[in-house]
Amino acid sequence: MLSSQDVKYLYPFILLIVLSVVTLFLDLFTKQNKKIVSGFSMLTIAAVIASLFYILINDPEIARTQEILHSYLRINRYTIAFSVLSMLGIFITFLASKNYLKKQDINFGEFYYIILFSAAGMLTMLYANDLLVIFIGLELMSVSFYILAGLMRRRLKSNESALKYFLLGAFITGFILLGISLMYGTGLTKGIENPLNLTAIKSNPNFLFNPYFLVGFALFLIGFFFKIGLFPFQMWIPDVYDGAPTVVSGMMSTSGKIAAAGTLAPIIIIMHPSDLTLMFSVIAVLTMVIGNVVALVQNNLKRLLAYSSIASAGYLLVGITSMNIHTLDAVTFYLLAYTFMQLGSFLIVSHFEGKTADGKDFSNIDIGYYKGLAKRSPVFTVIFTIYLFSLAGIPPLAGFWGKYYLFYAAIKANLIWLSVVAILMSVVSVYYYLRIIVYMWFMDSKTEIPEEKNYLKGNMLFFAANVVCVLGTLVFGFYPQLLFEMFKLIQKII
Amino acid sequence: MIDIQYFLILSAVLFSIGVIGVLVRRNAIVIFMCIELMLNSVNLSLITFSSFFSNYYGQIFVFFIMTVAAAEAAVGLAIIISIYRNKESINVDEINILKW
Repeated sequence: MLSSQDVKYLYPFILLIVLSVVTLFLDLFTKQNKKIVSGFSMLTIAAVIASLFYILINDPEIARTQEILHSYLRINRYTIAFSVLSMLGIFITFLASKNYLKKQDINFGEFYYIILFSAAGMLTMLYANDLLVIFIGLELMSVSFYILAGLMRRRLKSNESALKYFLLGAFITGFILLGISLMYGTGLTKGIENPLNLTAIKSNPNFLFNPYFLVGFALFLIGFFFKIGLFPFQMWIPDVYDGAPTVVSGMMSTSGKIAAAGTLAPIIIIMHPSDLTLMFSVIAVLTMVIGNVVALVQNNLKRLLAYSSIASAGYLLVGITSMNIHTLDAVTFYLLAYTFMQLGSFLIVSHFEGKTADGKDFSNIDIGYYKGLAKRSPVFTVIFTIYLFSLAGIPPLAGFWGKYYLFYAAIKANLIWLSVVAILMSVVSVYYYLRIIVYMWFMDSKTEIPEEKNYLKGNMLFFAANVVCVLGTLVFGFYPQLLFEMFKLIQKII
Repeated sequence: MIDIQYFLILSAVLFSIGVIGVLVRRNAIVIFMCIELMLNSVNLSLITFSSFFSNYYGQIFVFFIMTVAAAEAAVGLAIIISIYRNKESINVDEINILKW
C-alpha cells in the first residue's frame, strides 16, 4: 500500500509529472506566446528543486537509505544531491535558451515540455532501486533526447545526429535488456523472489561469481557506459553534440550524464565488483586518451567540447573505479563543477552561434571566429575564460577540486598508476583549453566583425544563467566544503 | 513438456539475427526492424524464465518493454521521415556529413 511515509518522498515526482503535463496543455492553448510556456517550465523545475530541498532539510531519516513503494524506489542524500544537480542543469538551460531558440527558428513549445519529460526520466532513474524502474527511466530520458537532438528538423546535421543517436541508442537498449534478462534468469535459478531488485541482489553477494550473472551485469554496464560516453562506446558523442541544437547539447552533456553517472555509481558501489577494477581502469585510461588527444586537433568548438566531455567521463570513471567511501562524494562534487563549467561553455558557444545564409547549417562555431573576441565582447570573453580555466583544472576554480577529489578517491583505493595517468591526461587537456583562450585574448581577427554593445539588452535571462554558472564555478572553487555541508554528505575527504 | 533450453536457444538465435541485421543492413528502417527483433527476443527469454520458475516479474517487464518499443518506434519513424524529407534517402551509408 501507498503509505503517507512514501508519499512524502514522492512529491518531486508528482510535481514534475503533473506540471509537465500542464505545460504540454499550456502550449496548446497559448499558440504564439512562448513566454508563458518557458516561464511555467522554469517554475516547474524550481518547484522540483525546492521540494527536493524540503525533503533534505525536514527529513533526518534519509541519512540512511529509505526504501519506498515496496523497495522499487529508494532515497538517500546522494539521490537528492544527484537529482538537484540534474534539475539545476535543466533550469540553467531553460534560463539561457530563449534567444538561441528564436535565432535558430526553433522556438517551439516542444523544447520545453520534452525536456521536462526527460527530467522525469532522470528522476526515475536516480530514485530507482529496481532494474525495471531503471530501464523505464533510462528510456524515458533517451527517447526524449532523440527528439531534442532532431529539433532543427530542416537541417540535415540535426536530422543526422538524431538518426545516429536513435539507432545506436536503441541498439544498446537491446543489450541492456539482454543483460537484465540474464540477471533475472540467474537470480531465479538461485531461488530469489525478485531478482531484479537491487536490495535482493545486494543481499546475495556470491551472485557475482556466477558467470551468467556476470555476463548479464557486463551487458547492463555496457548500456550505461554508452550513455555516459566511455570508450569504446564514445563514437556517437561528438556527432550528436555537433548536430543537436547547442543548448540541447549542453543539457545532454550535463544533466543526462549526471543522471546516468548518478545511477551507475551507487549500483557499482552496491555490487562492488572488485574483480572488474582492472577492466574499469583500462576503460578509463582509453577514454581519457581518446577524448583528450582527439580534442587537440578539433577546430569546431562544439566538437571540442564534446571530446572534452568524453575526457570528463574518463575522469569520472577513475573516481568510480575506486569503489570506496570517498567515491560518491567525489563523483557528486565533480558533477557539480562539471555542470557549471561545461554547460556554461556550451551556452557561450550558443550565444555567438549564427546560421548560414540558407539556414541549413550552423555558423560561427569555428575556433577562428573567436580570434580577438576580447575586444569585441569583453564580458562574455571573461566569462568563457573562467569556464575554460575551470575545465582545464586550474586552482582555485571548481573544476580543480572536482578532479582533486576524484583522483584522491583513486589514490585511497591504491590505484596510484591510474591517478598518475589521469593527471598526465588532464595536463594534455590544458593545451586545447588554453588554445581557445589565446585565440580570444591574444589574436587579432582579420575580418571585420562589429563590436558587441549593450550585451545586457534583451539578454537578461541569458546573462543571469551565466552569472549562476560563474558564481558556481567561483564559490565552489574557493569554498568546496559548501557542497558537502549543503547536502550533509559524509565529508570524509581531507 | 518442452525443456527450457530450447526456448532460450530460440531467443539467442533471434537476438543474434537481430544484431547481425543491424550490422549488415544499410536501410534505416530495416535496421530499426532488426532492433525490434532484438527487443522481442529478449521478451521471449523473459517470458520463458517467468513461466518456468512461476515468477510473474518477468511478464510485467515484458509489458513495459513492449510499451517502450512502441514509443521508440513512433519517435524513430518520425526521425527517419524528417531525414528522408531533407535528403531523399535513408541509406545509412549516405548519411555521413558528421565525421570526427
